[in-house]
Amino acid sequence: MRSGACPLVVNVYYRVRERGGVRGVQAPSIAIQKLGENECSMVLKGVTPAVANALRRALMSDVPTLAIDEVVVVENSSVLFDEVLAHRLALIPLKVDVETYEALLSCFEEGRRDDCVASFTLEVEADRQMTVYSGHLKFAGFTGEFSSLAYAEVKPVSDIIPIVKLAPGQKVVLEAYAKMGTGKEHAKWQPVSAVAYKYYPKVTVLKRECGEECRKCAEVCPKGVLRWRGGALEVVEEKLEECAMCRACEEACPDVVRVSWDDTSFIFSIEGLGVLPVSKVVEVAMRRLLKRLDRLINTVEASLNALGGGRA
Amino acid sequence: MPRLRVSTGEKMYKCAKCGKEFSKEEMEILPGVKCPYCGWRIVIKLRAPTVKRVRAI
Repeated sequence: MRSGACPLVVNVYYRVRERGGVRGVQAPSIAIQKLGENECSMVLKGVTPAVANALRRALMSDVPTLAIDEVVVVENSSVLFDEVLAHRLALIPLKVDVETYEALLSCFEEGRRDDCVASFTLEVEADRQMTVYSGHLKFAGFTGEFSSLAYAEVKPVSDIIPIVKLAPGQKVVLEAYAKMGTGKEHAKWQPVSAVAYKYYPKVTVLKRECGEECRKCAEVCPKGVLRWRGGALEVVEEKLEECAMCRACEEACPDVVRVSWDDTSFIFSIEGLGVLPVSKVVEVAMRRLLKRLDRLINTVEASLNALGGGRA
Repeated sequence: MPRLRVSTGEKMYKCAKCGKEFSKEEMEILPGVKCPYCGWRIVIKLRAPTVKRVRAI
């Protein structure tokens, strides 16, 4: 387990503290429990539910990614309409390396979205019944100022995403252009498939020595958070985070166990689509969240100054 | 005043029976929608020979 304060979250805390602070709020921190290429589990501490939800929303809808946005259909004798074909192409997640992503991101943030375009071609003619997959898409390079990025390659996350089925003699020829965008505009630009959080559970054993009747408290727990051993009931610390707060134990032994939660700590579970490493998605989400907070603070301050002649 | 009809000569339609391709003007030789070659009444409209730009949404 890697633990420590995330510089970006701490940054938010200090910015808030500089401006008067929030009484009783501890410094925010993040403890990463599991970090893979496409999944991440972490505990966010010292924040309000509003901050946790803001992060969730930023992860879902405010991290720019690349997705097919425009399709030029040259030939399409398949059973699907051009629009349906384009829609299916748009939903294919595209993998891009971090270095190229940073260049694309700065281009997008400068408002030059149409200058950073990745183009693809698709040309398939069926001689027998076949399925056209995402692997048939060929990356044709970047257009505009990115044309110099010869080393960069953008490709679908998976090569076996079905696009359309073709009968013998049917043909699809098209060009597709991928642009940067955010999930709040269209779900095709979402970098993660699922982001969820729950409160950090608190399970308290009120009466440890309660004899044989407490065995059922441990037995009803579907996650194995409680253990009955040697005539005493105890909380299995390493399983505590798995507690679903179903309160089955409370129902079985009302006066022995108490289930509650810590509303300043959240267990986050993030599942990426493979377009970017999840750690990068979290980093960009926080960076963009901070920018929005700065904008909000500056706007509010400017409005107050304008109202109170600088005394506010 | 008769309406001026400009023929593009574009073969827009195809007969579902004999497979012959013909333009709108050729089809209008016979009353109703019919193949001017075999008289079959099932006619397929062909895809225009241009590229089509669609937004992927």
